Amino acid sequence: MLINTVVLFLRELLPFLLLLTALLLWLRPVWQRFLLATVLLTVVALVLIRWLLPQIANSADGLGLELLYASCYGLCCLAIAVALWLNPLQPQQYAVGSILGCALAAASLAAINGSNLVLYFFGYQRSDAELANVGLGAVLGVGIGLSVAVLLYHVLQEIRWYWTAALSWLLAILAARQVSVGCAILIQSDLIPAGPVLWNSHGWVDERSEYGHFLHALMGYEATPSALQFTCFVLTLLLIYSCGFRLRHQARATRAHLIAATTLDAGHGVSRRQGEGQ
Amino acid sequence: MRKVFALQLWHRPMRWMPDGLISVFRIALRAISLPKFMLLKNIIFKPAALKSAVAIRPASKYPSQLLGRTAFAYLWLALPCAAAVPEYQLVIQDHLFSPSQLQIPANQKVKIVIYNHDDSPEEFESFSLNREKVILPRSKGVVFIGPLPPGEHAFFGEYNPDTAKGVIVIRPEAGDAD
Repeated sequence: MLINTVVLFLRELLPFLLLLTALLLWLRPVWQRFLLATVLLTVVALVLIRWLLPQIANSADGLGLELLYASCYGLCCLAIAVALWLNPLQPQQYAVGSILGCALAAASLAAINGSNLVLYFFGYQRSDAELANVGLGAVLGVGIGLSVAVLLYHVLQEIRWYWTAALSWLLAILAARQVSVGCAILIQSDLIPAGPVLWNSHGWVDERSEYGHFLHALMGYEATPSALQFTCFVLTLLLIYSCGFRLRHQARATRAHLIAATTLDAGHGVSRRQGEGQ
Repeated sequence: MRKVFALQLWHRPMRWMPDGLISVFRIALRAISLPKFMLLKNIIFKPAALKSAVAIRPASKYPSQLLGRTAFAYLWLALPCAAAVPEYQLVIQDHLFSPSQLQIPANQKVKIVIYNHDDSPEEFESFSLNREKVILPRSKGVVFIGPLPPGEHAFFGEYNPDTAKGVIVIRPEAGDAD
């Protein structure tokens, strides 16, 4: 029970935490507003889903949840694209809308993964011992997920100094992941054709391994992807990356500004030392 | 032209849609009655027709509503009409899958209907099949798989992976569920 809960929490939370990390790094100057909007939207979405879950699940001949999840994944990608296009850190009238777009992206992913966790938590009647195990598993799962997210945050922060397009690529990969997973849901519901399986990388990276889980959370890794999934992934990746030109421009400008400030500071220091020497 | 298109649509074999949804779809079509503004060429090349349609139809008062409705209709029409696929059943009871070994034919798409007879939810999951489906208590879920070559694919219930386990065996010839 304990291990199952840890694995379940990690699998459900990691995609959301990775996206949240990338968005928080991007929106660091306005992180409070972004986080508040995300939490509010997530709570509203989860309450609505929990309330309407039986009706949703039984609609469309048992495919209602799939349609909802696929829509949420699509909305997540769309919101990232809009936010990248508008760029929330520019002092302009679109800033609030863009921050809301980021919050909507995070909340739509949280709604999907959160609804599964809510089902697992509240859908079972458990004894006290089982409840303690589930609680401990949840804490461990959240803890491991948060550790990975914090690590990624700091690694990205360092990488951005040397490679300004890093955040833009990460957001593009995460958005493409949502589209790829949404496609998989529509394929399993037979709403879109899958096409042939392109390759089988099961021998290299098993989907059940730790790397497999992490890669699935990051880029929707599947050992046997279908042609449609892969095509959608690549197209979304390129589209979202091209939407992020303002973000890259801003990152370059920030770096140039900081380098200039550091150089100026060093120059002042040298002249001050020279002045003291004389 | 308009009537012919409407008739073609009416008699289209929408076997992939459930009966209830077909009724809703037909009622929706009747409500909008496929007027001129529903035709893409009119929307693109004849904005005047669009305006007149908006003007004479109180339901289509706002252009955004009109465009939304049009997009919705074209989306539905663009969806493929799938042929009938063989159906197999899996039952979840006491956190166990029954049958634990489901045999399906190779190189053929099949529909697996999963009935959850428990009072708790379950999630059907198979890594090798790339399938994941939440099934609520006392409810059912549908998953399509294939066409696949002969082989075996393990599946499990994500909420009870220790007990809810099974395997889908894909046989070279058509077979029934055990």
